[in-house]
Amino acid sequence: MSDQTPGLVAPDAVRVWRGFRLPDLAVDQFYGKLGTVFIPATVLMQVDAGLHSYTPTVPAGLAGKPDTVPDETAILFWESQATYWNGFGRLAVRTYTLTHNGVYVTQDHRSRADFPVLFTGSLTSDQPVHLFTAAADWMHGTISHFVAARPAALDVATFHAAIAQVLGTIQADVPLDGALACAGDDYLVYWELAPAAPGASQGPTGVPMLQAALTDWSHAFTPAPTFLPIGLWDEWSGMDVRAGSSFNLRFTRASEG
Amino acid sequence: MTADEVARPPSYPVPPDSVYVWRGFRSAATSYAQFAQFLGSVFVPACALLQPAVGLRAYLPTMVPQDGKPDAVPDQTALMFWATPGAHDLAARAIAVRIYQGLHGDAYDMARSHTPEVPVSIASANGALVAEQPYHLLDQPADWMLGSTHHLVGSRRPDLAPDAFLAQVYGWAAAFRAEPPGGVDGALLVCGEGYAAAWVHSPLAGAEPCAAVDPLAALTVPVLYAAARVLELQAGLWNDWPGLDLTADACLNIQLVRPGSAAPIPIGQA
Repeated sequence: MSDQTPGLVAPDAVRVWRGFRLPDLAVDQFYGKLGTVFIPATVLMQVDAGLHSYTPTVPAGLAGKPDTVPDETAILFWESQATYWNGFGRLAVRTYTLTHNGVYVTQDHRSRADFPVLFTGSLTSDQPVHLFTAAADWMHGTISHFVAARPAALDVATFHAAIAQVLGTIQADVPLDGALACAGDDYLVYWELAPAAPGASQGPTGVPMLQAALTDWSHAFTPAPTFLPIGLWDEWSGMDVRAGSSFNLRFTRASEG
Repeated sequence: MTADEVARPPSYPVPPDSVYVWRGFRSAATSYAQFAQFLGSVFVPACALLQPAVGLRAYLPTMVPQDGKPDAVPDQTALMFWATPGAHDLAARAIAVRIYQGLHGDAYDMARSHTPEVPVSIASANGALVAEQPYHLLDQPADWMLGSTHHLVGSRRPDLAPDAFLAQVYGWAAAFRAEPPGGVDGALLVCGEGYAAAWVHSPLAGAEPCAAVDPLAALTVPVLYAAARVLELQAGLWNDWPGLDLTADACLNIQLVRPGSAAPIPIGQA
């Protein structure tokens, strides 16, 4: 039995997703697939398997975004890492997982999700990190999300070192409830959970420090709390997804139902 | 409700053109073991669990045996009966069906599998079948989930040219329609240039194979001729369950949980 407060999960119980759309899928078709199938299916097919929070963002189509930066990012918290792995025993999760193939480049792990490890001062490409160790509830908190390209003037090692320096400062000095980051060779994705309640004035944030360090293409997002009004078998045309859409999906968890 | 009504599920007969007749060819990039694993662990049970709430009324999937099967014969067949001829398209308004439809491309050669699926009456044919056009031989509604179904899949007999094959199968079908065998309330047929597939349905459980199919079988080299085994799934979408072993169960009539009203629920009426 977990000794955590209900609603809070460990900072490493999250899959950090970076997705690249299939080259023959036009960006409008990509938005359509995400809004009519993929994003709502993530919740509807997996909530009964222990999905704890889901925060997808769509950088695809933003002006100037390099192709080397993911077209969609997401963090998917589960009740635990074991809950995630056990999900594949369920038909609903297996079915949902296979829907990726019609949307994303999956060969050679171009699009991928990984669990994070605790940040200890350095970064490895495609290995997510979490900066804080406390359990948190990312569905009901205020999330900021930042996506950036590697500046052309920096090689990969210098890029990672620059990010690591900023993450170290955030970890030491910024009072956040949670923070996640993942650097690829050519991009950074970063999420933070602030203690401020929705609608309150700006809480503590590390995003400006990252913006100062990464001066080529970047974009900051504020995932909008979003309820799905439907079930699997209701008549519903889907969500409106466009360039820059960012959602923090709100749903009743299996553990709360 | 009587004891008999409790034991017997309600019947939902549907028109003979309210069915999608699927002939699937395996992707060249997928081994047969992978194909059977995908269909058994995901595709077949997902079809049976995601779609009845919005109109699927019967589902009869079949894995075609691979031993000696010519390449021209499909690797899998399936009948998917819907509540009405329009129900299939209407069902896509529900996300459950859109999820299922997104799975098709993973294991199939869609260029070969994307053929006409909705049957027309054999009465509309004129002297020969149109290759890859499914036909219904009888016109009355039937409930294919109940009763019994026999399924024939065969390759074109090598001594018959494709045109002669399509003409002779038409002759068999016209005779079947003219004098339907007793105890049969539904029959479907489709031919490619290299194969024939037919299904014959009886409302009686445990019905014997229909002798009227024998002349059709004689025009082919049969690959499969079997009674569809009635199968109830032992799990739902969210149960811990590996799926079906389709290498053991080749020809199935999966028993669906069918609501009386089967269509996407309009917003606000849930």
